[in-house]
Amino acid sequence: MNLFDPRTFSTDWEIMVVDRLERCVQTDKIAAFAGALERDLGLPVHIDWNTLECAMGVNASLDQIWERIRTVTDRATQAVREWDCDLFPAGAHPIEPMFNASHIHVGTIHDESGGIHLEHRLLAYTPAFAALAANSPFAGGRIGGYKSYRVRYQAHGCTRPADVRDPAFSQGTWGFDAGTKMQGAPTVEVRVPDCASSRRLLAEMATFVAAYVHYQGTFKDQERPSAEAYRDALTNRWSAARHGLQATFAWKGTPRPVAEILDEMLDECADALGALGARRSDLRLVNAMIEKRVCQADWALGLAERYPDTYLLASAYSKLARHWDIFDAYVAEASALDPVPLPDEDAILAEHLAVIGEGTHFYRSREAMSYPPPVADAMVERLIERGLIRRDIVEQQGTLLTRIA
Amino acid sequence: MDALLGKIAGITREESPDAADASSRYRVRFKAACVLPRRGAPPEWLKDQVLTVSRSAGDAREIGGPGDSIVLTPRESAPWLYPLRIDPPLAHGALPPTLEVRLRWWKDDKPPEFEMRANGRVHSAAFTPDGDGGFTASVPTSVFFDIAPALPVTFAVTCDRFQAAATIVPAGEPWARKIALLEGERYRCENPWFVVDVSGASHGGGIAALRERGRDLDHFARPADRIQTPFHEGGHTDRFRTGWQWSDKLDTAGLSLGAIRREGGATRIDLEGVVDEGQNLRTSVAYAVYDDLPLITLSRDFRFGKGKDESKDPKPPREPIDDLFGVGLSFRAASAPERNGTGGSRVLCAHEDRLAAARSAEVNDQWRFDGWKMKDGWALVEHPHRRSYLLYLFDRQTPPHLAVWHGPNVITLEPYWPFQPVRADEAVGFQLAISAGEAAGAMPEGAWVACRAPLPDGGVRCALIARLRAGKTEEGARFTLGGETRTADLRQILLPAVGLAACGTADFPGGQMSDAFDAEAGGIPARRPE
Repeated sequence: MNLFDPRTFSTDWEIMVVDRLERCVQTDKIAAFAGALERDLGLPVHIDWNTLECAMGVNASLDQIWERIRTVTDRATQAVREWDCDLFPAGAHPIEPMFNASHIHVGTIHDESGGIHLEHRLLAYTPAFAALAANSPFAGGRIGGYKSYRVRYQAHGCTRPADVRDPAFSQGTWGFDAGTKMQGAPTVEVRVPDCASSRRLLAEMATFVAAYVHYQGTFKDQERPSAEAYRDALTNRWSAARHGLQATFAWKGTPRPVAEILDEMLDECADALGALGARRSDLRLVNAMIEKRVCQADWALGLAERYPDTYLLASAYSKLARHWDIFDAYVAEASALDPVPLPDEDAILAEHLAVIGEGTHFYRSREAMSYPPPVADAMVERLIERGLIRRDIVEQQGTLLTRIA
Repeated sequence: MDALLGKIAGITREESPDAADASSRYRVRFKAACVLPRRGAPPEWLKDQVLTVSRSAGDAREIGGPGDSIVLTPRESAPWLYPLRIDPPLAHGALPPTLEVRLRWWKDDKPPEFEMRANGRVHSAAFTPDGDGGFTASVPTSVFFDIAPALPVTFAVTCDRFQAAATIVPAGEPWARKIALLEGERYRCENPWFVVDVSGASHGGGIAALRERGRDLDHFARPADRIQTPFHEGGHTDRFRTGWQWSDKLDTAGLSLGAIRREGGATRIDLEGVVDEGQNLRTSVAYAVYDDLPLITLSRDFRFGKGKDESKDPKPPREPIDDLFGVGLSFRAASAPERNGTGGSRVLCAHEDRLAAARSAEVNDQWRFDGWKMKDGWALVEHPHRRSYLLYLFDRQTPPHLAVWHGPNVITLEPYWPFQPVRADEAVGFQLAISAGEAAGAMPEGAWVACRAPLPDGGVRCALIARLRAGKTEEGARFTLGGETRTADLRQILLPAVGLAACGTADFPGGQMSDAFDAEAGGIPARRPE
């Protein structure tokens, strides 16, 4: 018995449209393209804040979604080119304040309570999906601090770590990295993946994520994660955002490279993959990325080394991304990257220290690695104990933190 | 810095002399399409011109193909955006023997002649190739004057549609004049302390540069060769809003000169113009740059008129509320952050009995302090490692809230005053005093900035501007230059609509600008880099 019946999946691919003055085309005009594509293709292509949101309908197999992804993107490319525009698939824009996703919807689910329990099981795995999909190493003028600025900055509130919920006390919610979404299509929505620049990767990734969620849907346990497991998941989420596939996760008490975890997940969900008409060997890009620990952000960062000016970078980036397969060729040629060690206590404290300037509101400690209040407060206390920061409680402002040089 | 965005007309691959080079060079032919970052129209002289730029890429798709866009760097764009140059564009004290005129780009091999005008005389001359794709000519200044002229004088060059100018100004005395720089016309005021460039063509008469003469340091310096919105990463601009967002209409509002005049030991620059024709919104700004102190005052007004209504249709009924403008005011002082924004630069002000500091460790981060106002009437922008300090003074009776923004390449001080109701035919505004220097102190009891400048006959003059709480002025100021320390009384000066400030000066006849400099005022020591 599986929580999902029938087993279906899809993706909402948020793709920017740029004109020949390199402006991001705005929602009012993108809506025209979306409407035309929806009529032509019979798929629910819509808009989402200055992006063309290419929803790929309900799919049952890798072949089906791959075909749809190609068809939709080919048609969309042609539609926008008639207006001298191009599609720009990327997780973020080097200049504009835009974060874009490839949400993956996994269906079909009718048991919301079961879905809430599934959210708990997925907490540990969504950071691995984030690492695989990392594709926003530039955002609004920032370059290279994270391989996914989108995940680090929670996509302006649109992809957040899930709460641990009890179905008996839950309201409908939205925006978790992975969460049950019964309001429209009855699915578990995995929101954490950055917008893919490679359409083949998106097809493979969507199939893999769906298969893995389906696989987790075979378990019926209702156990809530421990506070330690929740903290580990958040540490791993941060590592995925920072290092992509080079990340090492805190995994069942030991450090483990995320590439190894993904490798294991692919094997675990072999039957579920089969149900979606795929074998692991069909996921050639995903396999190659895991083997080499390279993600799309690594490709993009190579480009940034040659274009320090963000306007020139955006220009070159958009011209390459529109070809859909640049990253595929990059993976084939890329050298393997080494894993980055699991962040230890000092590294975690350093990350919390890094968000503290002078007069920084203490609530920023929650944003550093998305730790819940007791953990983030403990980090602040430790920084104070070590003499690295000072705490002032100021009327009309609250608690302020200041780094001591 | 502005840069061209072009549309590619054709690409040809160049043979690389280095066989080991994995990337290839391409010659890209393009036509100018717009000027970044504002995507304004390209200069008229580039219309239909096919230009060429070289690019290196490992994958030709990175460049694109015919019809695609191509973005140039500011340095690459400069010869096309600003083809005509004259060197030196500004000189002090005496006419240079010659002025070098350069035409960095022309559409074919035969450039037009150019004309230089000064003292009512016109001199025509021809260019010769400079061997670097451009053209050059040298013009003796003696052609224009029979005797040494009284300064300032301007040499204006015209070549086809291009214009440039060189201005020769007196040495050792304050002056102000409209000058032509590559980035546009500026109203420049120069005195022993500062060189102040005020933009007339845009940004409602904001301060584009505030250069300390003694150290030749521009406190509003912007990074070179990076595409950036004017004033966004360096400069002072004033702002207003009638809704959530600060209006961008002032960004494109060019003001005309009301007056440049010398009066009362200061140079005044008055500008005025229209911000919004339809709404009949006008603005004016008046600067006073003091001769004897490192001090500038700024008075900004916005005047709301009755909007145009040319419709002959019957008017719908109106209520008084229909004629209300809710207006918020602010200014924005932008400067380059140190240590890439993770430390160093900060904004300081007094908040009751504590020194409030605002230094975000993250970028794209805005801090607004809605719960309290800067009642002591000062804010200090500190860049300790390059010893750049900007002190802003404002009225203590109607102080603004503190707000700061930390961008990838900028830190701002952008205080804001609460909204206020304004009727048509009413005006709102604010007054500021600005000082800048290389040493500063700040405590809850007050703040100061100290500056120094070479004296004409040798030696160094030091000066300090402070805003202190009651009783602190009596403690005086102390300046140390090299091994020598001098004390100075702090005298109070009343700055109209800003309030009392304290100032002190000391001369060091044997001092050098290379000597170590330190100061203290009102018992407030100088701040040190951490």
